[in-house]
Amino acid sequence: MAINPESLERRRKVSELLKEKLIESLDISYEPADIHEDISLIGSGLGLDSLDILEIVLCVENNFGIKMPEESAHVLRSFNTLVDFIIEEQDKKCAS
Amino acid sequence: MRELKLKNFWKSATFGEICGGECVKNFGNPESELSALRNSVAVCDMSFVKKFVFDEAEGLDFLDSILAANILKLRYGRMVDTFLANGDGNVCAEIFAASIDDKIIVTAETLSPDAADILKNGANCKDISDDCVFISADGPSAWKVAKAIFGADIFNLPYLSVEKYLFEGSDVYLMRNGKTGEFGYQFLAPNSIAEKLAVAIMDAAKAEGGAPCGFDAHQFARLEGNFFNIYAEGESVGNPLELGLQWMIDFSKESFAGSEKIFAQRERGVKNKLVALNSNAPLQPGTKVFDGSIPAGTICVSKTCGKKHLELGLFDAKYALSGFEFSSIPNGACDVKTVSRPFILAQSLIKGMEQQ
Repeated sequence: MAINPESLERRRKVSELLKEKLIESLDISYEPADIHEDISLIGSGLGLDSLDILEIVLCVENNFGIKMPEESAHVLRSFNTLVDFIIEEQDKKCAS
Repeated sequence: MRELKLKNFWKSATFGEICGGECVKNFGNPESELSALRNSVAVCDMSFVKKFVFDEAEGLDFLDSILAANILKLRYGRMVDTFLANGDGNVCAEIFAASIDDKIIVTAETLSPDAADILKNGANCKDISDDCVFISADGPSAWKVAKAIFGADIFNLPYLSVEKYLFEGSDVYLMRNGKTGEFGYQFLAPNSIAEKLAVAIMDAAKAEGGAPCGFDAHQFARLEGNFFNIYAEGESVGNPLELGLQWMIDFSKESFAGSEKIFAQRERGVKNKLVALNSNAPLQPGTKVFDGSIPAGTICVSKTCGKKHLELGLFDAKYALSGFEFSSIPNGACDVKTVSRPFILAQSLIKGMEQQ
């Protein structure tokens, strides 16, 4: 069975928008294309700290209209896990 | 082959070779070694890693001229994770550079015995690979092992930091640069105290329910934890941009080893990307993966540890997105799914976040 191109396009669009907004919010010195989807947000990879985490939370809430959970460690493991969370929350919103 | 200094200490181990250096492959049960790493602490002899020391003043400029990161920004007590590329712009060594005591300590995991020889051309470079042991402790309780030995506030040592401690009258460098997702520390110590230090580390680890661990389990933990492994995807892919190592590169630098090729490819855009996979059964490297009849990518890393198996694929960039199902045969049933890394939620991440 072939992949639904609309689903692929949706994931790509969420990823691209999140990359742009994170670069803007965190003043990251990379182009969107330089950010691999599996890059770690904390520790290695982007190497963000606790203050940056607050910025990410605000960035997601302001640009995607989604409330981040209090316990966000599992969501913030990587760029991709954050995109997973955004898409799941968007789906929940559409379903309700 | 460089023999492990502590070979007799790791009595029950099976040994192997990595790029001209002897390594501990396993202690007979990689699954339980991985379990120790994920649940308490696992101790691994990483002495096969190449080790160099530079005088800071000359070393910084030299290292900055060849390594992908901006080494001039390296501050006292901190480390940088970067790579050394060959003339084709492919990764040939993963490098950690640490600044301490007017010195730069460089550790290198290399793809061939001579891949890091360019480092020896640096002014005042001293190759200490045969003079020192390098032992890692990884796991949610790893910080307790370091604390038991040095009695310091190890828990709050930031990631990519280095500190010096005295042990049995000799300097030991403690580096926090684990590559498993758990708390991870590496002890760099002279051969003269190697066995006493290994005993102290193992005693402290066993007190926490820990165990010795071979590099087989350690490599699986790297894959689970979303850490670059030069001996897996590094060797099979090579291209740092396809590997997603842009974060190790300072693109504002004028040049470094291999930079011309890397910068040119960045301009052209990356056509393939690494992506994590969940498959119904282990897939061998080289296996093609399809979207219907269209080739989407190729398996490049496949690792098993007990009943667990994980794969990485090098996919056409348009397909390298998480959450999509593919088939390992053209027009076949879906048996492979792209997933987000890391594969696991490390206990240490939760503990670390709780402290912030």
